[in-house]
Amino acid sequence: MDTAPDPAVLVYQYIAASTSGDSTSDYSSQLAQLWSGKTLSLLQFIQTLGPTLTSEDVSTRVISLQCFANTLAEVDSAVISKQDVGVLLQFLTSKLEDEKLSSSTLNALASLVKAKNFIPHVNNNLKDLISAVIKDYDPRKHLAKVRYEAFLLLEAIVEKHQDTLATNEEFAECFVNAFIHVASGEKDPRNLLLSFKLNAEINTKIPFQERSSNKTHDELLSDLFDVCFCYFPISFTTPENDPYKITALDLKKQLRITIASQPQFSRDAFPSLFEKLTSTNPAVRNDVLQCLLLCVNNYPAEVLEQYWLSIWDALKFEILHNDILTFQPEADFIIPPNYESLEETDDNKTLILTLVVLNSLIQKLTDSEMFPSIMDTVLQGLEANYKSLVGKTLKPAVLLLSAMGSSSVTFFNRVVDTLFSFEVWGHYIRSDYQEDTEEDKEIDIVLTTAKQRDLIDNLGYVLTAQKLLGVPTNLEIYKDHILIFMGQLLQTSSNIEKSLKCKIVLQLTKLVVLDTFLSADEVSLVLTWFSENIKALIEDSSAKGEPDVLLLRITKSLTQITSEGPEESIQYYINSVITIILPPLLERVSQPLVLSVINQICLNYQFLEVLSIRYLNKLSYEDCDEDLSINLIESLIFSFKQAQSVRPFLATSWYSKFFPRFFTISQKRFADNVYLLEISGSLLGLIVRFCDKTKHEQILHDMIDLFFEGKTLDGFNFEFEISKPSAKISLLKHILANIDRNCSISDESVDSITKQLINLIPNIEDQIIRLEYLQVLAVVINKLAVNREEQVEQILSDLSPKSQFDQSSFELSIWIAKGLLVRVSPRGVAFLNKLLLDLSNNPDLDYCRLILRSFNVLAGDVDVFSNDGKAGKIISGVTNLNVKILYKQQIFEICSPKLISDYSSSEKEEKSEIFLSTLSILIQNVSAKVINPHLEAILPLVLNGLYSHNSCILEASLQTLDTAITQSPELVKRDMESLVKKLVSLGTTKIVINKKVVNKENIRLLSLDCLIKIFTEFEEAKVRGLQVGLTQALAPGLDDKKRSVRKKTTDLCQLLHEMDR
Amino acid sequence: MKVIPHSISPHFFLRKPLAATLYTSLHPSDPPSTTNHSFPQPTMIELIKSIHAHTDKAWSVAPHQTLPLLASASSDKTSRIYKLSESQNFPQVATLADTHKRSVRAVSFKPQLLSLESDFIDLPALASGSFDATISIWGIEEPEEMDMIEEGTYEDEEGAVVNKEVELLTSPSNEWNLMALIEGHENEVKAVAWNWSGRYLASCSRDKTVWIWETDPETLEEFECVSVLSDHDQDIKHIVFHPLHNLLASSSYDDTIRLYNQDDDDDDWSCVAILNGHQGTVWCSAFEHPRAASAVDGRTRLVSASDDSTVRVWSSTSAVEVSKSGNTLPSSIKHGSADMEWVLDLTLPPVHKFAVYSVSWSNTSGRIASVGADGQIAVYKESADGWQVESTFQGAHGVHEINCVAWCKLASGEEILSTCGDDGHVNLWRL
Amino acid sequence: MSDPINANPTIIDVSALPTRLSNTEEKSSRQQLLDRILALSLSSSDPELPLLTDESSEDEDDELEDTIDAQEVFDLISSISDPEHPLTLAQLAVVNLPDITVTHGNNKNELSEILIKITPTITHCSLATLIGLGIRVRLERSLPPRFRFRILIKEGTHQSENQVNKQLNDKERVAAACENDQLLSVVLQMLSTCK
Repeated sequence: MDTAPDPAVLVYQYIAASTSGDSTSDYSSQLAQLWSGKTLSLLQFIQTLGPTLTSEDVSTRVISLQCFANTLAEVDSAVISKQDVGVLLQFLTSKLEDEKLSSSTLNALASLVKAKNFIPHVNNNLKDLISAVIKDYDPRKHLAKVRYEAFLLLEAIVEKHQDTLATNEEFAECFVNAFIHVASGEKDPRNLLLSFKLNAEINTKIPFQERSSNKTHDELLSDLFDVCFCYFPISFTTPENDPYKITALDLKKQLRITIASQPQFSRDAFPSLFEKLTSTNPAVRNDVLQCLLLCVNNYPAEVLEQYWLSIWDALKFEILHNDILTFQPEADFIIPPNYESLEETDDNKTLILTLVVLNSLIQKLTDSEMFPSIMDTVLQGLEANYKSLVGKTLKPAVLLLSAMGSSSVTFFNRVVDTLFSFEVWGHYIRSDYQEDTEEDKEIDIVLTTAKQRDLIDNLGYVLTAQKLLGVPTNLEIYKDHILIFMGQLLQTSSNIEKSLKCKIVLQLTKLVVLDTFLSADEVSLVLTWFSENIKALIEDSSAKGEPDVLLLRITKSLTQITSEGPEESIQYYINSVITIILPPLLERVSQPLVLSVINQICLNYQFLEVLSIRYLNKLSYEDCDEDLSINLIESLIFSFKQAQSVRPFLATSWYSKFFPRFFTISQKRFADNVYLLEISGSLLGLIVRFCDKTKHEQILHDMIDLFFEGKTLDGFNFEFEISKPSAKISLLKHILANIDRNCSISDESVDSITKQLINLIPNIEDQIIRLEYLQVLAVVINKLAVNREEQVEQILSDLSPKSQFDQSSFELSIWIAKGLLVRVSPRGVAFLNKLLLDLSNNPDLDYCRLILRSFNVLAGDVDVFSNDGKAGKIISGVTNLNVKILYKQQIFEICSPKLISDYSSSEKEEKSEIFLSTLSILIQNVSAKVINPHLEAILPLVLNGLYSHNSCILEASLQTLDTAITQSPELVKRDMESLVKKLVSLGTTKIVINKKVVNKENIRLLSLDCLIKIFTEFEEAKVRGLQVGLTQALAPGLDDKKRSVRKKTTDLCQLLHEMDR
Repeated sequence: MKVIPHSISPHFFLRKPLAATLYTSLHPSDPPSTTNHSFPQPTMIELIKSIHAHTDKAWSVAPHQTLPLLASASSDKTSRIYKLSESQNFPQVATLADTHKRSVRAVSFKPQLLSLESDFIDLPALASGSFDATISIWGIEEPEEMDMIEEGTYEDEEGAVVNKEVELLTSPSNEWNLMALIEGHENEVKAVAWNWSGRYLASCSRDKTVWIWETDPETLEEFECVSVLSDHDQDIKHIVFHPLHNLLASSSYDDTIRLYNQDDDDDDWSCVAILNGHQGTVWCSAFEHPRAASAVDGRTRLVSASDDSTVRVWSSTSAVEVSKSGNTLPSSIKHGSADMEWVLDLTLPPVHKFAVYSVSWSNTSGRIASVGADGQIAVYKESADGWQVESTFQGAHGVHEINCVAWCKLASGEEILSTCGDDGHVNLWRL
Repeated sequence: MSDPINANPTIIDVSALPTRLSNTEEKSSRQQLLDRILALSLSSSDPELPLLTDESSEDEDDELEDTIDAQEVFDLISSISDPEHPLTLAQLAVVNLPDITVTHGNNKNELSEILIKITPTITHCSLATLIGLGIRVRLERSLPPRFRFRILIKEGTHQSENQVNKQLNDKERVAAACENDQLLSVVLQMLSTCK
């Protein structure tokens, strides 16, 4: 105990620290400890503070009381006895008179109020406190900071003593008075926020009596209302570096909550809100409506019964007399989801909010016994609007009704019965309606297309409401009429009424997807109508070739029907689409549009499977000509991919069913039709790729057997001899390309396969077929010969040029190397280096040119080493490509430096032309990312290449330049002036050397292309006025011998002319 | 401005005989009689010089009446003046730029003023009309050396002085300044022309009017519009004054040519004839000089070029003075009474394939030259048995159209042809 | 279904227009595929690859001339857009291939002629002159100077045929028009759609 610090010392340390602006907290907390530890009594503490508390010097007084307040805030309030409370209360309230001290005083009081022994009614604690506050604290005299303390004090009271306030009317009243006293005239945002909170607290915690019956409460409520509503609509912009980060929205929201927190405000709230609703500023109107919404939600039904009419009258005009385009009859909602995220200044938001308010109003009132009369009033009030089909307010009226209906079945039923009564829509829509009197006929006649469109739109709103309710309603009664009406309209109305028909289709679709609303037969009926229309449309639009809006609409609906909603119904719809829509389409597959329609609606496996079988049958018929076969296969490929992307599925089962049949058909029927076999191959490949990984070993072996072992497999009816070149190899190419890369076959068969291919290929005359075989070879080397590196290396060296140069074995080695390079096998790289060496050292130009061309293969994209579509895992777990992403970069990194140095060191023009061309081939084949770091080095050769009089150098340079312009403009821009001049002369004036044109057509074109790029992509070009006089310079190009050159020149000139403006 | 001993009164100019004698005295080099044998047959047209004068279409070329100067006008908004001296290789004397906002369509040199005062020196001046609806007047300050010549070489044999004068007046060192910018027309000015005395400047425009401006021929200070002739009901393409009379011919888009004569009593201008016949826009017309080899006393002739690809010669025997015979009716009703009789003599042998844009009638040899859209120059000569094509030249401006042709004289006195075309070139031809 | 702004001119579908442009661009998917394969060939027959047998490169006179014909002229002007409809002159059948005649001189130093007859959408179409002007500007910018154009209104398709014709073929009027900024900007607007 003797170690305990001396309170007096602590107090002085506190004061010292405070005056020198240092942290004071630990002194006050030490004091608090002493006090809590009873080593320091309240009396001693006050005595220690004594002189300073009463010091003449203001600051000392302030600090001293501050010290007291802080200590009080931390002390364990248990040590403060009831008497202490009394003492302190007196002491502090007395201090309230000293304005300088108010901040600390209020703070201390707040702590005191929280103290365990502060009991409101014990010697009138609470009352005295509150009345002291009212008497001695004048908010107008104080800064925001101080005023904040006052609010905190009140908050403390509410939190600690809400029960007392709730039960003791007297306390409550004087507390409210205190609040009003404190809150009046407040301006500071932080304080306002707290003031609104407290106001709301009061309204929820304190049970006010019915205003009419209790005058005081009536006044208090009015004051409470005024002290918050006077700020409405509140606007505030958060100042720079505001420490409290209070936003306008915080204030708006809290204010709305406060207004809505007191049902007894309704008397003043509603009228004042309606009055503000007349504002022209949408932001204000939206604020009002959101406030109204809260009120409607919070106020009890009884209150709303009192005010619903005035609300309704105030709001309905918002809708009736505004443009309601934002509410789509086609949509399956009335209140757009996430409408809250709309700008506060958006007028549409006002319209939407209006409906939202009415929505909840109806919701609130459905169960009230006066609801029937409410419905009467609403419907009668709108009768004029919805009864006439001509009025501008028809649509808005129906919108209002549907919106309100969507939140109350009772209301909806009433609306439906009214709208479908004979007097309103009945006599247009209902088939059970007999025209009796004359003027009805007239009405009937006046139903023009325009009105039909409106009617459908209005129906649309009603259907949407039904969808939103999602429970059985009276609409069921009129279901048949609606169906028949729309159906007939769809079938009968003229084909030029596209928009009408589209609207009908949309609404019918909505009906169909309305869960359980239509019966199975009815759905089929709708689909039949669609099918009818599709047929008709296909017939007539196949004439003019471009797809028709209605056709697109219907196909879209079909996709919607077969993809949205609960699984079982989807299943059902798909079946009906397959049975109703598909057959007539299949009868017309030769029509241009049909397949595109099918492609669009084929979204799932089930459909695809049916499709595949039907197509297969068509393909197997002799009368299925080439074009049709192509279209069918392409359509199937498309649909397959599409279905996969919608929901991935395994095609494993196809391998046993579809695969063999299709395989057989294609190799039979498409004999040597390269293209058909190509796409057949890609379809087969696609299927293989989506067969489960585990299946691949078998597939691989099957194919090896079929193609190389001459074996027969059941299901596969296939004639092929590996010794005889055939276009059928395309099938194998694609299948192998899609086999999982981890599959393997015995080393022996790898060797024999490679051998067979190598022996066969050189003897294939047909270019394309040979290339197909070469690709197969490449894949084999790439995937299957992974463990046969030495052997492959051996093969390569055997193939390497004999004394007498031999092109076909060179070609073989290139493709083998390709197989190695794509998986960056060291042996591939070695081969590449050797190739480069030959290129620079071998004097035989033809050989060098051959090498040059070979880079198209080595660096080029080859189908068998790339998948179209996105990469990444697929359901079958297959990874078919055995390709390193960076292989091209590696090739480029190896080649370009060598080529550049060779070019700059070479004397022979032919040679340098070869180096440059090789470079340009590489550049054309690798991505910009790879080139960029090297362009700096490359560009110089390119630019002086432009001055060469050798066609090939020119072409190569221009092609590279073309890439450079887009890839690294900065480099090109350096000397644009001279570049532009040169390009113009290359493009327009022929360089002729001993009667040979050097800058041939394609070179002239390339030059012009570069110019066009320069002027479209470089703003500088214009800035530097390079276009001035250019059109004259280009004039000769307008009389070029080649049409293509003339055309490009014209385009360039046109571009320049536009720049001049 | 130069002070002149006693100012020159209008009626002084009207004394024709004097004017005539003066005229001959000014051209000792080619007395009318010598014309015939000065053109050996057959003549070939040969290019002397092609000047790339402009960066855009060249619309018009016009020579100075006495000095070896040639002016050109172009869509590049400039005019240029060249010296017609073969020995000096046709130096450029001036560029008249930064004045017109749109194409300069036509240029015309003020005629040489005639004075008995030997110390009076007339400075060259040029009028140019532009699509920007304005007319600009250009001229030079008197070169300092001038006075010296006058005093120093007064006694000298005249020719020398004249030549020295010519040298000075045509030297590139002279600064050509804008003296006046005349506004008035609603839209594009298509042609400008001076009357023989330099007192009147006429301009025509797409606004279907011809304006006659009066000025002091020496100072060229004020240009006052004294008459607006709006008889044509279409765009007026070209106007030209008779070399000796105040007789004006205007060619129009309405396919006609109108002739206007000034009544000496009220100085007013009235339409005295309408020449119908062309089946297309009349682009240009030119009077025959009474002193030209082809001329016959008492006969006035006009040649016209048209979009219908023909060149026609019209003639009238009514004395130009008819309008002066004490007729004091207001010009409005004077029409018809004072009319001249004009007849279509003939259509020159067809040469041109497309529109003929310009004709020029040599005031010495009497030959006619025409040019047009087909890029051809045609030169016609009248002989005992009528007009023949003396020579033609295809592609005189490459594949481009030729907009204007004008006879002019080299410093040496030799008569040559000048043309200008869409290629912006001014070409000079020897025959 | 009737809409006021255009007096329902019959609109030709773009795909139905005769043109050389698209044909050259559009290769059939099959051709593309075969080309793709062939591009991998090492033998020199493929034009795309540089350094084929360069020795056989065509000499000056070998480079065959594609003479400028009606189709080419049509392709130049067909895509000019109409000043009031958002459609091209070809779509509106204002210009039609059969109404274009090209007459060549014996060589490039002689003049060649192009005659174009345009069919205004309505006989009182006030914009006929503007359309003609657009065509003329397009041609003057796109064809060599040796060509002389005559642009005429097709007989009996316009009330004031002759006035329009005369104006369209008056070089001076055209030149002046092209210096008129308002007019020129409209014309450029029309030409901005040129393909």
